[in-house]
Amino acid sequence: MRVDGGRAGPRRVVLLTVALSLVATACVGPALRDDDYRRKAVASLEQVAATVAGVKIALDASIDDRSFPTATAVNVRRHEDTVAWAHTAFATRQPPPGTDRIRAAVVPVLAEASSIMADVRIAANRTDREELREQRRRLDELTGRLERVLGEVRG
Amino acid sequence: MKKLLSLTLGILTAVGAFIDIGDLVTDALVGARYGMNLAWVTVLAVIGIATYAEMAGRVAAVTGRPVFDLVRERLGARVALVDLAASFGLTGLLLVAELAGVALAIELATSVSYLAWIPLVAVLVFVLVWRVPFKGMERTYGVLGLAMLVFVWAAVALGPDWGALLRDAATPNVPTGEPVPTYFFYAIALLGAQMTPYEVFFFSSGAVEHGWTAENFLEMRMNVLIGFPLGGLLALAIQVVSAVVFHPVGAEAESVAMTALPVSVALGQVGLALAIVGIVAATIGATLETLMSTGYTIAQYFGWPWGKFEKREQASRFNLVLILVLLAAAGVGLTTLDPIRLTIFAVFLGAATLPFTYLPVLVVANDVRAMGEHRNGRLANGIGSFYLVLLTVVSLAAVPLLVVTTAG
Repeated sequence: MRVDGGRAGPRRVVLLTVALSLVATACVGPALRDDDYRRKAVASLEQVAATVAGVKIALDASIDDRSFPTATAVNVRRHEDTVAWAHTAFATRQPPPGTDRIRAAVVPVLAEASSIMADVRIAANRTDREELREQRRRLDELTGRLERVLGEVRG
Repeated sequence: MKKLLSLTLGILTAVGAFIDIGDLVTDALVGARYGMNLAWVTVLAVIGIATYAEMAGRVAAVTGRPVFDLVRERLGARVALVDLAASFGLTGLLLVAELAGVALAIELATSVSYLAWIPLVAVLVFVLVWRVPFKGMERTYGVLGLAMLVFVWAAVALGPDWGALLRDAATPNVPTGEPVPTYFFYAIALLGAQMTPYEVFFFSSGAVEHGWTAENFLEMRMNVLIGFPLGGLLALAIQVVSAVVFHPVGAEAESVAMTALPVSVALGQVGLALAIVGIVAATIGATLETLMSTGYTIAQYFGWPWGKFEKREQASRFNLVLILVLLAAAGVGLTTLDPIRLTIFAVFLGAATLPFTYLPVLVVANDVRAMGEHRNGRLANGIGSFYLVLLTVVSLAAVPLLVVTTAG
C-alpha cells in the first residue's frame, strides 16, 4: 500500500505540473465542436481588433510627434507578433465539419491584418510620417472589416 | 533636518517597493480591460500590505528577527520548507520578470531588443548589490522612482470625467460580455501583484539590516502608512490613464510599451522620457528587492548569516545564493519566454501563497513573550484576521480559476 502510494505521488505531481504548464502557456487542444470553433474565431477576431486599436493610438502619438520613434517601433513590433500569432493559431486549427464558412470568413481577414501589421512595422521603422498616415488609414479600414466579420461569425 | 530627510527617503523607498513590473503591467491591463472596475482591489491591497508590513516591521524591530525566521519557527521545518519552495520559486519568477521589465523599458528608448539588455542589466544589478550600501541602494531607486509621478500628471492632463471614473470605481461590477471567472482572475492577479510576499520579506529583513529597534517605530510607521498608500495612488493613476486612453476604444494593454503609451498621448515626448526613467527605476528597485528576498528566505530558513550588514566572507552562502539566482534569472530571461505572460502568471500564483507568508506574522505579532507591550492591538488583529480569511479564500480559488480561464 505504501509502495503504491509512493509511486502514485510523484506521478500525480508530474501530471499536475504538465497540466499547469499547459494552462500557463495557454495551450489548448484542437476544437472539436461547432460552438468551440465559433468561440475561437470570435476570440481571435476580438484579440486582433483590440491589438489594432492599440496600434492606432501608438501611430497617432507618433504622427503628432508625441512619442519617440523607437517607442513606436517597439510597440508596433510587439503587436505584429500578437496578430501573427493569432492568425497562425486560428489558421492551423482543424475546423470541425460544417464550419468551413466560418473559416473562409475569418482566415483571410486575419491574414490581411498580419500583412498590414508588417507594413505598419516597416513604416514605423522608417519613421516616415506620410507612410505612417497611409498605414493609419489602412488600419481604420481593417477595423471596419474585422467588425463586419465579427458580426457575421457571431450570427 | 537630517531625520526629516531620512524619513522622506524611507517613504520614497516604500513607494518604490509597491510599484514593480507586476504592478505596472497588471494596472495597465485591468485599466484597459475593465476601466476603473477593479480599483477596489488596489484599495484592498494597500490596506492589507500596510497592515502586515507594519506588523512585520514591528516584529523585526522588537525581536530582531525577520519574517522567514518566524515562518520556520511557527510553522515547523517541513511546512516552512514547502512555503520556502513556493516563495523562492515565485520570487525567482518575479526576478526574471523584473530583469526583463528593466530591459523592456530600455528597449523603448533604444529600439534594441530587450534580450540584448538583460545581461547588461544583470551586471548592473550585481554591481549595485555588491558595491552599494543597503541604504544607498534603496534611496537611489527610491528617488529616481519619483519620475513615476508622471502617471499622476498624465491622468490630470488627460482631463477625464472624474465623476464617471469615481462612479465606475465605487460600483464595481462585471462588465457585460466579460466572463465572471476572468474578472476574478484579474482581481486576484492585481491583489497578488500588490501584496507580493517578497515585499514583506524585504521590508522585515530591511528593518533588521537598518538595525531598527522600538525607537524607530515612528520612522517605520511613516514609511508604511504614507509610502504604501502613495504607491497605491500611483497604481490607481496607471489604471486611470489606461482606462481613459484604451478602454473606450477596446484596445488591449499587455506590454510595458502600452503601459507608457497613455503618458505619450497626454504629455508628449517629455512625459514619455520621464515614464521610461520611472519604469527603469521602479523595476531596478524591484529587481534588487526580489533578488535580496530570495537570498533572505533561503538564508533565514537554513539559519545562515545573511544581509549586507554582515561581512561578505561571513555571509558567504547568502552572497553565493544571490549570485547563482541572478545568473539563473538572467539565463531564464534570455530564453525568449514571454516576460509579460510570465509576470501575470507569477503574480497570480503569488496570491495563492499569501496566507503562508502572513499567518506567522500575525501569530508572532500576538505573542506576549516575544512582543511584550508591543503586541498587536484590537485594530491590527481585526484587520489582520479579515485579510487572513480573505487571502485563504483567494488561495483556494486561485488554481481552479487559473484552469477555468486558461490563465486569463
